[in-house]
Amino acid sequence: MSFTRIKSQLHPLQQGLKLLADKYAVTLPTDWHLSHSLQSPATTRMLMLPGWAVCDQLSPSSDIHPLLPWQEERRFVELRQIVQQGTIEHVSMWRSRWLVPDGTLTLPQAIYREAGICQWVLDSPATSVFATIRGTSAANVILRLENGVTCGIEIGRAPADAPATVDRHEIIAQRGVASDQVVDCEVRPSSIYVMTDSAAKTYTDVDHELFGLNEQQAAIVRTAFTALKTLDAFTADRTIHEQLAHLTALAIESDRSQQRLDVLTIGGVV
Amino acid sequence: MNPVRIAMVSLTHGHTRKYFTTLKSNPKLQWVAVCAESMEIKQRFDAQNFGVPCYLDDQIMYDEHPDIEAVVLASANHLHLEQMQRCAGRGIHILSMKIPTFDMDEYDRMIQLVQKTDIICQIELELHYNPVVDRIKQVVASGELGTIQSIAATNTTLSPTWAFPWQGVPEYSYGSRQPLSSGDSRFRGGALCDHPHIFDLARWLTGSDFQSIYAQVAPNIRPDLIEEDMLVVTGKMQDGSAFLFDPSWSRMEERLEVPGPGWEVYPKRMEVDLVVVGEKGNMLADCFGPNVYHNGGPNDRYTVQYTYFDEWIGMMDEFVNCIRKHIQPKINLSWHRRTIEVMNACYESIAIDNVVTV
Repeated sequence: MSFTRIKSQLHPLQQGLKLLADKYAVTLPTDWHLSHSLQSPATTRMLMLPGWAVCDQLSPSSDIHPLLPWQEERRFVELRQIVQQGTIEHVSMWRSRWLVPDGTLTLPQAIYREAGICQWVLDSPATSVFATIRGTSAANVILRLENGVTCGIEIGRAPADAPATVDRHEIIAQRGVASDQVVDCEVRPSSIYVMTDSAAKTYTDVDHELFGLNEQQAAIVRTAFTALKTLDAFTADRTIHEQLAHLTALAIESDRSQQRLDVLTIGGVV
Repeated sequence: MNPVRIAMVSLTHGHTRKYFTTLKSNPKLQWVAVCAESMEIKQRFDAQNFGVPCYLDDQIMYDEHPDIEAVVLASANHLHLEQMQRCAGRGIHILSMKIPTFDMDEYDRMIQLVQKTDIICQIELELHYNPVVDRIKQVVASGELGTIQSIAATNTTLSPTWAFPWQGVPEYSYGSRQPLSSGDSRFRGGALCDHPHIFDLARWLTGSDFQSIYAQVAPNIRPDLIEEDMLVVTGKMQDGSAFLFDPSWSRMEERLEVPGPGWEVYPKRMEVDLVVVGEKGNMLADCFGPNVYHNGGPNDRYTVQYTYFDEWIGMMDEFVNCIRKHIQPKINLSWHRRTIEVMNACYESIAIDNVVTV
């Protein structure tokens, strides 16, 4: 049964998680809620949500489980493999550009996400951060990773109904460049373009089992599912969340003080 | 629902490796055994340490594991009928590769065999379980594009013949040695035989059937191949819509014996693209994109690294469901017969260099 055929009052993310749990016989905890944000029913005992939603909380309460959705987003999984398997060698620099649609993530939340992605793909925690931030419009962040790689992160606001997605990640190495955006393009293409007399529509569907969820939603569901299968993952995710929340706060402080700041080492994170 | 106890035979089909992951990880399947076609293939399989016994004779495998309920026939096309007969004789359900056979008498015997023994037989057309294809079907069904006027589709790949040699042998791929046309030194059995998907999708999307076919082969880009590697097909459906298909092996490859990194010379080793022209609008679709890209090892060439390929999950789900509920899958032998017939018509058109009514 596909995701869209489920008749349910559940939120789409919860529907997706329930579908996977039922299909693969994974027991869901009671009174759980999977959400984009901190909003949840009063009865919730366990709230799973992307870590960026609580990026201002170093230690969220014990009923909150910050998820790291990029770990299940396939483009990042593949980029990580390209690095880990030595397809590209001796990485020098990471560059990312994300124009964040209004009404989705705030600049600090976007910094959290982008820092999380580059640390995970390159398998190395940040040791220092410098940032320039302009109000709620733009943030530019330079990270140095423990493995020596320099990361340039470019974040800006985009209109909610921007016609194209600008969300690019590039790894430059002595041997080879890897990217989630094809050469000679300024925007990431979609899988499908529908052009009629009304406005053009685009679709990028990446998950047959979770058909109906977009790429980011599917990643959130998959991450929650993976964490539920191995409950230890929640502890590991929490440690990484603490480091990312700390790093995000440092980026804001760096902009205020215009100082490069060292990132605390929090055991074994990336 | 008890897991379906499943085996694989031959392990010589290009999709074999994709099944390994699915058979190992899908909790609805219990992977019981495999049968390799040669000692070399057995050694390659055993080296992967799946913990699954590997035989060299499928009869022995079936005798040793009488609990096998279903089999993936991952084999050359010319072996399918006899392998199906051995399965059917034991009541074992079948997942057939995308070309059961090009011999229509043989094809009808397969249908009769399945009906007589009341087994489930699904054809592996995995694109039906691709999320982009899910969306294509949804957009077309919504009526947003209006009536379909035309479908242009590519199913272009590298040539798998160096890794899966049977695909370069007309008798094994097409089933017999038939010249493409008088005066042409090449034979049927090449790229066309590898790419039924777009013929099938045109039937699904239009809800119509083929009416006429004109196909033309181009000069081979691999002159040493004795089968066609480049062709283009056009024609009309019974509803009047037109189509243009490119099912070529137009993406050049390194001649690897075992597929792996560095296989592709052209950056993307496999593409299925569709353009649907409707009365009210158009749709462009890339069934395997976007992806990630690199120019790293082993050859430092610009290369597409796919982020897709979960089609086998949905396909195996349907196979299991059909077995347990004892219903024939949507892509069954009878449905697929027409697609094979139309692919044969492409060869007829090439032979006479003219249109064929189907």
